[in-house]
Amino acid sequence: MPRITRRGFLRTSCCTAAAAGLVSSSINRLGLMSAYAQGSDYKALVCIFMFGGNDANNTIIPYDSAGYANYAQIRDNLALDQSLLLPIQPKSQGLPFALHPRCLNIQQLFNSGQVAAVVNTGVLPQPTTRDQYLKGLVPIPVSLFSHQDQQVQMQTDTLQYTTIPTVGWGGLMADQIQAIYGGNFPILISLAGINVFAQGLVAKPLQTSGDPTLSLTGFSGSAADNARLNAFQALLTFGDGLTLIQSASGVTTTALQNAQNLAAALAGGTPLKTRFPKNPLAVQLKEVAQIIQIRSALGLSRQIFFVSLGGFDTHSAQIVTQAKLMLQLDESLGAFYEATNELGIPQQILTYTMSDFSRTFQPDSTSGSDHAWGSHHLVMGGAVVGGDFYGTFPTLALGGPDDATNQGRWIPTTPLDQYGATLAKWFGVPTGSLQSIFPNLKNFKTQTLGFLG
Amino acid sequence: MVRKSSYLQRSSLRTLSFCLAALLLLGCNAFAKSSPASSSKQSKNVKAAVAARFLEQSSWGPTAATIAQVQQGDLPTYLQQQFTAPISTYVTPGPDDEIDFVQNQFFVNALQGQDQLRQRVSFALAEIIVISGIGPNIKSPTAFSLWMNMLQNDAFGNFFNIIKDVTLSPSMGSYLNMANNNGCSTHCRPNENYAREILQLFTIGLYQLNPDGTPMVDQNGDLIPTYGQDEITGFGQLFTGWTYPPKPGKIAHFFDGPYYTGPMLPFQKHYNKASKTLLDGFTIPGGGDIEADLTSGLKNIFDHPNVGPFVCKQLIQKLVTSNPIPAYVSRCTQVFNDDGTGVRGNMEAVISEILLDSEARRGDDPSQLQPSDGHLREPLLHILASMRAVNATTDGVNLSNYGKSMLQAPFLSPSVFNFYPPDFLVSGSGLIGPEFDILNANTTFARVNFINDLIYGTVGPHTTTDISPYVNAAGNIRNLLELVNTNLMHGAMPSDMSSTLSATLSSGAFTDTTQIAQAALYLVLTSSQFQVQH
Repeated sequence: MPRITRRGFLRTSCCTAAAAGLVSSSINRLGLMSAYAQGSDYKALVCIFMFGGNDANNTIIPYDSAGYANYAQIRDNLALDQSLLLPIQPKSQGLPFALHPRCLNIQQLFNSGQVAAVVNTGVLPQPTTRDQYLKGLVPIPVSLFSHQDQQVQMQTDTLQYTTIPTVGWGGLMADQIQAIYGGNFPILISLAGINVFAQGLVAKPLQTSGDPTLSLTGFSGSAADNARLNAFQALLTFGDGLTLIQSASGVTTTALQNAQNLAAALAGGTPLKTRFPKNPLAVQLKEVAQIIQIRSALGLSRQIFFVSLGGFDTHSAQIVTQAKLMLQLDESLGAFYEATNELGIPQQILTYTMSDFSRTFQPDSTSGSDHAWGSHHLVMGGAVVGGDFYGTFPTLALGGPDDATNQGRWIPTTPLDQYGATLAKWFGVPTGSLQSIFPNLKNFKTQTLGFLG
Repeated sequence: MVRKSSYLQRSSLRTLSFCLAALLLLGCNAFAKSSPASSSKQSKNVKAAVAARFLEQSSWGPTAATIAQVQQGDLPTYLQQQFTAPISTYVTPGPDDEIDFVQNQFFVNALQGQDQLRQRVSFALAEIIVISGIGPNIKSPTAFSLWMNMLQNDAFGNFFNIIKDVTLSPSMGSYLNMANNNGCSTHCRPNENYAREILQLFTIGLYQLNPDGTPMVDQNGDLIPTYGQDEITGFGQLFTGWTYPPKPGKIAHFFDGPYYTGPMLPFQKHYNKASKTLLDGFTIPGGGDIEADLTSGLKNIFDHPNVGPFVCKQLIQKLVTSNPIPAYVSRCTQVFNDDGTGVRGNMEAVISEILLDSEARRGDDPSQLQPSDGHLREPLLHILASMRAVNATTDGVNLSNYGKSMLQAPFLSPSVFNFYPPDFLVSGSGLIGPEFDILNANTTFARVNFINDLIYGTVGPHTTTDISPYVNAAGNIRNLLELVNTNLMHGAMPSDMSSTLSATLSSGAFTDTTQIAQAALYLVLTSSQFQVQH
């Protein structure tokens, strides 16, 4: 299944580095043959978390006249103009739908089959009807509609707890595959700072909020600087009996090592030609692509990345704010997909979205919407069976069969468990282990959705 | 120290303040000799190291001058001085100013202001009750200067006044959409943003708490929610009908655009008419008066038993330690619930209790430290304590960029959830360490490299430092280390650290006393032993 060609590989690894004389060292480090061996089995998962709760109701919209009319009537001043929407025809749906007007790249990739949508998915312990929810007949996630809790639940799939969970499903996936696919470098990289998604029981992520190769400044190699550096490093080993001192030193010590290794590996890479936009998400995705390029130097054939975009908590002035964010998401996804083509492995990189929750279908009094539940998410990659919806699109009716309240908070019809398990299985987690990562799977008929075949 | 001696009753506080004001006029010597707090068990002639540690908790970092100031009296006396110290008021930005105008003032005030405790406490409150320039809602830097002035004015008052002022602040009204929240009943519904966050983040939290800050559980061992969607809906309805104050010379209209000077104004016509379900089964009948209803709704929140432990624990975490023992929180809650004169929410009493409690003071004797003690200095405290230790002066310019590189640019929290959450569990430690949420592979170096710039370069175009006291001491490594130990580490430098420093500094690698002093400062200020305040 490897799409990479020898010529393509050489092109990406030499052209721009030739002048810098990096070619030979790059090839030496990679070990050309082993690069092929690993490259053929390489897979990466890239999670894009939309912090604040993206309004999925304005991300995917019914496009048939009755569906749109119902949408427009209830959404009122949040309704997007139908003439601006970007139509799509999901293969399995009789009726047409549309994407937010800023999602041009996503529309194109949906139509060409590299993007699919998982609709009305979210944290859900077991199949739940409106009636069961309202009567309290079934367990529900704790502190539903709270940002912090639903963020944690989306990242951990732990839905009932008395203390905040500390292990996420990214980390648990890494735990499962580390022995087979791991190298001397963390499998997990979060470019969005510290997030529980990336914490495993064993796997330790690299977590950064900026340049992951940043290290100490101000050391020239002089005798005085060397003496100071030695003392700096010695102090990192002293605990003073206080646990938090040891923890802080641990962060620095690990970071020193990772930054050094990553910088050495990246020195053997070549700048990607794909042009990325300048938004905060694109900056992270560009870094991801650059790190994927030097995967062999890191000795990794599986990687999990966590990146994010914030600002989705649109309680007011939603139309303008969400449009900006959708544009950033769309342009970032477009550029990143192009980069996976440039890397020659679009089939081996799977990008997907998550968010706290969706937002109320009914607008609020300040031209915004409030916290809700089930949401629509996007998956992108060469391996995706795209151009379609997976899951059941909710009935857009206040107080309707999918509404947990009367304001349009959709009870998920597809649990996060199935969404995540589909990704995990593709990634190489043994089927028998899916349950240990996604504990609610047992309450649903199927373990996985079909978007990865 | 037990609670009785650590906590002065309100009536005596009032007398004390009066005396202090009179005594201060007579000069510091008279004040030190006749301090009315001498009845306290606190010994006079506080050791420099103890004074330094107290200042780590109650200021932006000790300086030689403030250490001397604390040593003149005792800890309660110093607190009383701080309660009445002149407030470092934020100047209102001009029409062309941006948020950096307010950020710069934050640094100037923190470095140079006399009201250190008020600044620490009001900043802590601003991290519990958050507004931010990130996001589209707040349109003017004035929102932040007025916000900080409000919190600084209210910091030692009553917590009810804090939440009332916060609720009616146009800055908060902008940020969480209470301004122009229309009480519409058909085809739309009140915005729930402020309703949700005032409960979840500012006052009571998601779950019922014991007075000691631990969560209550039901017979199944499950947490007990403090509210559900019905209460959110109810408070959403309650927080309707308010709009921005009018610009000078104008008349207010509902749906007016942002203006930040003065409290928001009520418009009965735009107040939701439904009956409102609030906390613990309390209901406000429909059709009531907008102002009276708001007061009783805020009272409903203020009287909730969670407020004491919720506020106490977070203030303790910000000032003293990330993992306070439940008894410590419990003592603070008692004071919050009743300051000894029957008053609930007296913040001056609460702050006194937090800082004078036996748990806060235990580490004054380093041999009494326990493994779970301490808290990572948040980036701004790391920056400021380091700068104060080297006698920096500044106009504030560029310092926010350092804060940003460490994920804490003043007034630019990513969301209403502050720069970091109060319950972050530090990987592998079993301990809470809120500030560790923003200590990652990048920020750990941003923190260290800031010190490099501070000691060896420059951190701002108009920022100066003066390390001459350390250079002057550096002719004798032992003297230098003693000075550094007192000023930077309240005398608690562990022996392995001091012997490593001693060996390094006397190794001959450094050519002069300046180099020696710089290396000593760099190594201590970058060390985890310094960065984790304890």
